Amino acid sequence: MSKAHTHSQTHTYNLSFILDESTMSTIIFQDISQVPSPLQINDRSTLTGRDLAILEAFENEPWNSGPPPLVDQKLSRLDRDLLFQILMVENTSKSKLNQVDDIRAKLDPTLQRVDRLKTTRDRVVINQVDIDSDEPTSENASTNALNQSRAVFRLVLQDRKGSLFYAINSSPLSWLQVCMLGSKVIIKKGSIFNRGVFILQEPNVLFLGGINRAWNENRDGKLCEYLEAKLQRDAEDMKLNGSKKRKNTR
Amino acid sequence: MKVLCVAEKNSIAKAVSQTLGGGNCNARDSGYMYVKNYDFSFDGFPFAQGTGSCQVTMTSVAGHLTGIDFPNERYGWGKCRIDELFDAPINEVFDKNQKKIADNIRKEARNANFLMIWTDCDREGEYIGWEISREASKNNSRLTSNQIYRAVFSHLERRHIIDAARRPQRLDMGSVNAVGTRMEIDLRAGVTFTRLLTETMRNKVSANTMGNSQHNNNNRRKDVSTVISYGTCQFPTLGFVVDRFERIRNFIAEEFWYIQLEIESSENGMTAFAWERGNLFDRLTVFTFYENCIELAGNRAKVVDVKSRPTSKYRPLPLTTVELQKNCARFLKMNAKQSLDAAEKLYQKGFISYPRTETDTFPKNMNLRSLIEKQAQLGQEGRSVWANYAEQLISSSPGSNKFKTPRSGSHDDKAHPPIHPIISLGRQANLSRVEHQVYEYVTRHFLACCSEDAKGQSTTLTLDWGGERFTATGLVVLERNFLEVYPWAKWETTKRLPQLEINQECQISKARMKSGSTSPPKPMTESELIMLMDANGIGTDATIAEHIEKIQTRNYVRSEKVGKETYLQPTTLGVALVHGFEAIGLEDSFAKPFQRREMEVELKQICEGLRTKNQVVDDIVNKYRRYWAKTNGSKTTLLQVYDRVKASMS
Repeated sequence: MSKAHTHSQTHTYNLSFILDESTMSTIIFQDISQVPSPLQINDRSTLTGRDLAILEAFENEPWNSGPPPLVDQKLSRLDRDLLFQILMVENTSKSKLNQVDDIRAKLDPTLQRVDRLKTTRDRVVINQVDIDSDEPTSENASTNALNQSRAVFRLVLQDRKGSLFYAINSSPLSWLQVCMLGSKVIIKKGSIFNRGVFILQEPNVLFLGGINRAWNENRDGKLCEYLEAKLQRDAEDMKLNGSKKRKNTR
Repeated sequence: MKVLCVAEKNSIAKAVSQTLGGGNCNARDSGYMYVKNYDFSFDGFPFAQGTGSCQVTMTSVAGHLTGIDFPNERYGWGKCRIDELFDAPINEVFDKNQKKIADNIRKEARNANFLMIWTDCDREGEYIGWEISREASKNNSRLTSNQIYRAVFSHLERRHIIDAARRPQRLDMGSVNAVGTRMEIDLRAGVTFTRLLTETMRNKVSANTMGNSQHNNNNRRKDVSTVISYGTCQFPTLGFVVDRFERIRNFIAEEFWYIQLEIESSENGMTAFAWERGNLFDRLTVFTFYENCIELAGNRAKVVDVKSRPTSKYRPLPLTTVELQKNCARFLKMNAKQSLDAAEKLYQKGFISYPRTETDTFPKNMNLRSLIEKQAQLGQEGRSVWANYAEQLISSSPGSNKFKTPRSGSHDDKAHPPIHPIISLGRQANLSRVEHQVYEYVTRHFLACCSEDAKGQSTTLTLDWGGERFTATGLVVLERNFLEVYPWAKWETTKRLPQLEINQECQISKARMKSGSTSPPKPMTESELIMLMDANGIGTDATIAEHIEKIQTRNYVRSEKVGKETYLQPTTLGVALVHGFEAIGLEDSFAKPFQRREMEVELKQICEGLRTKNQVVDDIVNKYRRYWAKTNGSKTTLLQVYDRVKASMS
């Protein structure tokens, strides 16, 4: 039986993960949209409090993905904990062009542009310069880092039914800078939901970790391609609406 | 006792002679038009103590006394395989003028008991000093290293020069070897790559430059179109300009969104509060925040923080060469070469200290007050516009802005103090307009360094609206202090903020979601390029200006005036060379600053005695030998890239 499935989808062998000890890894390390629910668990009394909380968030009725359509569901608060997996993370505080530059320099440091001054380390080129300051301090670099620690990310989340939602963080969540695709997160009771977007805020969010290996393969490369495609679309949009476009308000 | 002194330029020889000779000195011709020999007597040399007054002859060179080159009959252009030049012997060569100067030095040295070197105190000056000492001892075997001294000085003020004569040092062979290393590497890499590039691309490029030569009317037409030169500093310099050009060319404007609040108060009208999150590049995200805030808080916001604190605008750091060039470009719209040349002239005429320095901290024991006093004095032309300021600074009359020891930066080249004025301008001062401007800048900068910081009070109000934070900041300038003498720094009182208390609820007049779009970076300016070169270790403070000039005369970059600003834009050839080396896979060593920076590090190691000249030359020349072979095998790539770039730029 299991042999017949090896060449099809990886999720099919999830069926074998119904032992109690593996329950949590079933949830955290698998694609939850493919895990059968409810999980068959022989003895729930052996589980820790944390595991029970995860299990409960997993088994709770998923959020209503419509009708009415998500965009028409105005501000409401969650009345139960919900578990999701992270499909995508985008930094909305940094321009796409800057992100593409950063990723390219990371993938191949020799290709980085060298026309600006930045704090330097070894082979990193100083490439960003603040002409108006004669101060030797790296004030700029530090405010930059501060801004990035306060960055707002837009996530795409998926529940066990396979429905997709957006989420944004309104407080800094340190794991957002490093989390793997496929990692799991619980959005707790009391959190805000508005028109398809969950708002993540301490302490109403619990990051569980986890990973989906396939989704993280060449992640930087894929992200770079995605951003470039988006930029290309922006460029075409700009060309189309160029004449109507408002003047720079910055 | 006879002492021969040799300076780097005639103007220095003349000034030093006048000081040491106490005004009694005779000038003789030297056989070279721009160099004079000055005879006088002086009794302050410690090495000639007890022998009475010394007869001194002071002469000079005119920069380097010798050059290096390959023997032309065997290794001239077309006479050998180019890659033989990596191992070919190197000769010392004198051009016509250098020959005359060298003759004079040998002649004057013939009867000398001692030789004292008065070249500029930097790495290059050390090497020139060594060239001089070698030449001088050719006709006088008594002049061994024991009889050769070196004067250490950084400006031409009388006391300082007499001190330098009384405390002679020795030549620093570390610096001499470092310069020798750099010269050999630059020669071997420069000639091999210049010949290779020129032979590969000449036909293509000269055919093209003819067509748009009106375009580059300020370039010398003669050799420019037929020689494609390579230099180890030129290429990374070009790389910065091309990278900026490409960044602009590939720029795509992106839309961003943000939230802005406005609060109206009867006394101050509208005050805008900026969102702490700044601009976000996603409309849905900003819209979600915006809608939530409206749902949760309506038009009510609460003051969650009121910060009022004294604030200062710092006076500038003591002046280095790079800052001088950068600021003359920004404030006075001069290019780096103009400002450095003017500073050099001012130094030779004795008005300012040695203008090539990396030091941004004044020595502890330096008498800065007396320098300020000189600025406060009545010059023969009447008082300068900053004389009153200088007088106030050191007077005992009441006032907030009094002399203050300058801030200390973190750089010290251990050779020269920061650039500062020596004496005030008198009537004899025969200065060009540019020299006047540079003198005024140096003096105002110096006075600003010795002043109090500007003082003010800044207030920041923070509002919370539905969990999001918004701030407005106001500034009241209380004491302008150094700003009075330093008009280029801007620091102004802003509009007053509304009077709000902490925890006070207030009504929002307007809460708007706004959008804007990013704009492309500006083309490279010269001041930016100077800072980039400095930060990445390309060239020294003294040679940066030359490299920027060079890539323009080579027609790799042209300057373009837009309004008040002058930008540097790469030419087709400039872009093609950078991308050509990228295509070959050598960008690391050519258009990027890495290779050159490594070399600077290794030269410093020679100065510190950690490595020898031979080790470093072998290492780096072998690298270039490999790069050359790779480039030689990829000539078609260079040509293809040129065509591609040309098509994309027309």
